Amino acid sequence: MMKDGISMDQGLKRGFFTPPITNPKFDSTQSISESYKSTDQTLEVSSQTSDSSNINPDSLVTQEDVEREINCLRELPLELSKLIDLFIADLKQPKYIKPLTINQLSSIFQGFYVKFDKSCFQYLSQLNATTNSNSTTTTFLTARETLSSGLSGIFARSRSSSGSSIMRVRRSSSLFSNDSATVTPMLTPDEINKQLKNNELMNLKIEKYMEFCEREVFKRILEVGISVPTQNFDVNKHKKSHSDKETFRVTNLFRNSPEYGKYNKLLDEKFQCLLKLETQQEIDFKKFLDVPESFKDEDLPAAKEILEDLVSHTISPCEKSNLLLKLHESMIYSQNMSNDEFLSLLIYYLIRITPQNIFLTIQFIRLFRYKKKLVQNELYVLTNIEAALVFIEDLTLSDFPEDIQGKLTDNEIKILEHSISSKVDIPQLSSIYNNQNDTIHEHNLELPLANEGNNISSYDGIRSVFDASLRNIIGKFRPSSPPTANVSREYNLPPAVSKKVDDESGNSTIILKTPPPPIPFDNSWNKYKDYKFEDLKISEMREIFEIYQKIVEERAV
Amino acid sequence: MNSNVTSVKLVLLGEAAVGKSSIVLRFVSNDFSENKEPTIGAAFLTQRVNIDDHTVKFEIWDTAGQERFASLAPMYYRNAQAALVVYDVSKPQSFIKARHWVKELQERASSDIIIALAGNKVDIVEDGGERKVATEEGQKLADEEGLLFFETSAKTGQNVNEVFLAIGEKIPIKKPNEHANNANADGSNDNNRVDITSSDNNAAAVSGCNC
Repeated sequence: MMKDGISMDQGLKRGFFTPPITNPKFDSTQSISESYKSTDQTLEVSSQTSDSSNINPDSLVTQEDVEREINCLRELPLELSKLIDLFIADLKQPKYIKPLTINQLSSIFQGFYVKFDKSCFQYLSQLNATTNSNSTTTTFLTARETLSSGLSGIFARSRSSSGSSIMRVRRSSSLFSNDSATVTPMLTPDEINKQLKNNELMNLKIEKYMEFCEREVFKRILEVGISVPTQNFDVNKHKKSHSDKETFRVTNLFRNSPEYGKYNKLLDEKFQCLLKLETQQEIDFKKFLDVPESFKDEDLPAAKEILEDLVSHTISPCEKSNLLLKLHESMIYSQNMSNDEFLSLLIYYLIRITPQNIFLTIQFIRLFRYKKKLVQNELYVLTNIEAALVFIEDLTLSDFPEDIQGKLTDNEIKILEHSISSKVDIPQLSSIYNNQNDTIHEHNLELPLANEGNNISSYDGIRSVFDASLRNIIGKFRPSSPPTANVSREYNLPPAVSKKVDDESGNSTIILKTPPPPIPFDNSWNKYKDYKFEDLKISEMREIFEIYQKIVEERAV
Repeated sequence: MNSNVTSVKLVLLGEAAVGKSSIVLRFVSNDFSENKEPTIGAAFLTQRVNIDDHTVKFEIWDTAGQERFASLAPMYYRNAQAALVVYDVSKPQSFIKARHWVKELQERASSDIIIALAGNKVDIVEDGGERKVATEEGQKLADEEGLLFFETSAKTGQNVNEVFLAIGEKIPIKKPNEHANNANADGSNDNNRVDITSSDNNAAAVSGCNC
């Protein structure tokens, strides 16, 4: 904060104009480094005060602010949660000619997250704008007022009681001219900080909303067959006993990509087998993995609880990801721990705890956590556990001492004979693990599967045709227009987003190059009315498509 | 704000016990202020470095150095913009391993990855210990492969900052207007979102016009 003061003063002396604080090109650190440049041109390992006030948000937003503004948020505002309703309703539309693979599904979700993110921003800005036009307690105006003195103080007071619409008129008047420089069209350091702080708080809010969003989306996916969910509806009826912890099965999501399920099953099997070897003391994994000596068996229950929460008591990718961070934190016994220690300990935990469906759970995070937020330490811990799983799947008999082989049962030998990746091929995985020259993930933000771009665009085309036709022909299947359209209408999304919507409908010419082979038409056209979309088999979907085509024909006649 | 912070993923490679984490800990501990950034032991650390008028933020990913984990390394150096390959000047084997890492990175990592080679533990030599890898050997490898090269001591801090600064200087600087598309830089994601420009101008206009 001090530095801002200095830089501002320097700015005054040099007659700098304060750029709008919100200009992305404006960087308040810029002015600082400039004023220091002449005295100190040498490279400097960042320390401390020079950038902390600007770069480290913590210095602006105190714990108290977070407590007051962020932690009290419990749920999404209605306007935003409506978007999720629409998204889920849209997902449930029978508009794809074949079931979506997990990667296609992931890209749809990622696209939605981006839109939702923008809508959050729109929503909060509008909210702020509304508050600001009320004369009372806007942080900005009060801050301005307390700082003002003399004439400007009077103006500030009059300003604070006037509505924003009036101000806007004034702004365009000729009085806003260059020679009014003495009246300081500049923000004071405190105001800058205030606004930086507001921005920061807003970003934190958006982050929180995004967390809610991830959670809500998956919660509602669990709720069966309804686009307007009832509360507390639990799919897993046989598991009513759970208290506040929720049960979620990622396996359902991966149903249309059977190779994932197969890989998962084999890995779970392998874990069981390794655990057996460990408990029977055939193999001493502590020694085998060089588990750090400071590890004690007493540490296991805590890790076990985290891993169990990870696989079965949490819903959203973001919650799961946080648990991975928590797991790593629980493993730290020294600040000097290198990854040799983390990784071997992590592998050891996994063998001892054998959390079921761990592979799918981790893939779920990778695919469905909002990519923009899956960065830094969150990405690191995810990579770590992925690496641990790859290590396990790759573990074969040849890695163990030879004398162990005589003690194994045939089944164990069969399980440990080959790596899982040699049995099940998941192309997406090998690209994650071995990718060489792909673009940095930030560039794939909107289309995480850039290498599948063709698939996606053709699928978009198909989708839009289905949209259009279904809407026209069997309108009752589709009471609402797609969420994207609504979003742009309600929240004035930036042009980019609205344009995308246009594109989708505009692209509708690229369609159905390979219509499915004809199947005798079944007159029971409504036999699937009670089905849920995700329960349909490919053959059933094809049949539905046939029905749809028939309806089209009939209509045409 | 922050529009000139460039995030750099830097991956650490090298045999176990050559002092990878010590180098990073030394580098990070230069920060006098309390480090509020998230860390995971010494396995994931971040550090900011000011170079001229921009800031490079290193996200430092440690990899396990044990041979059995070597095949997992690609998962870590995926998308890395920089790599620091470390060997121990008193252990020839670690230099051989470093040579392998360099080769592997050049074959499999991003094509524009910046690689630095660090011969660590030179303090041992200065204390009368035996050097097994000559400076010239390291330098030769670096020259052949186009690497940055330093002999370092995590213990004394010798050349530690220099390695990172040299890497930072080779990182292409992100131009502010490209920044809007950057989703990676922490905290800067949302810079261009908050639009309160109008209220600034309103305030300014009013204070001007009531004269």
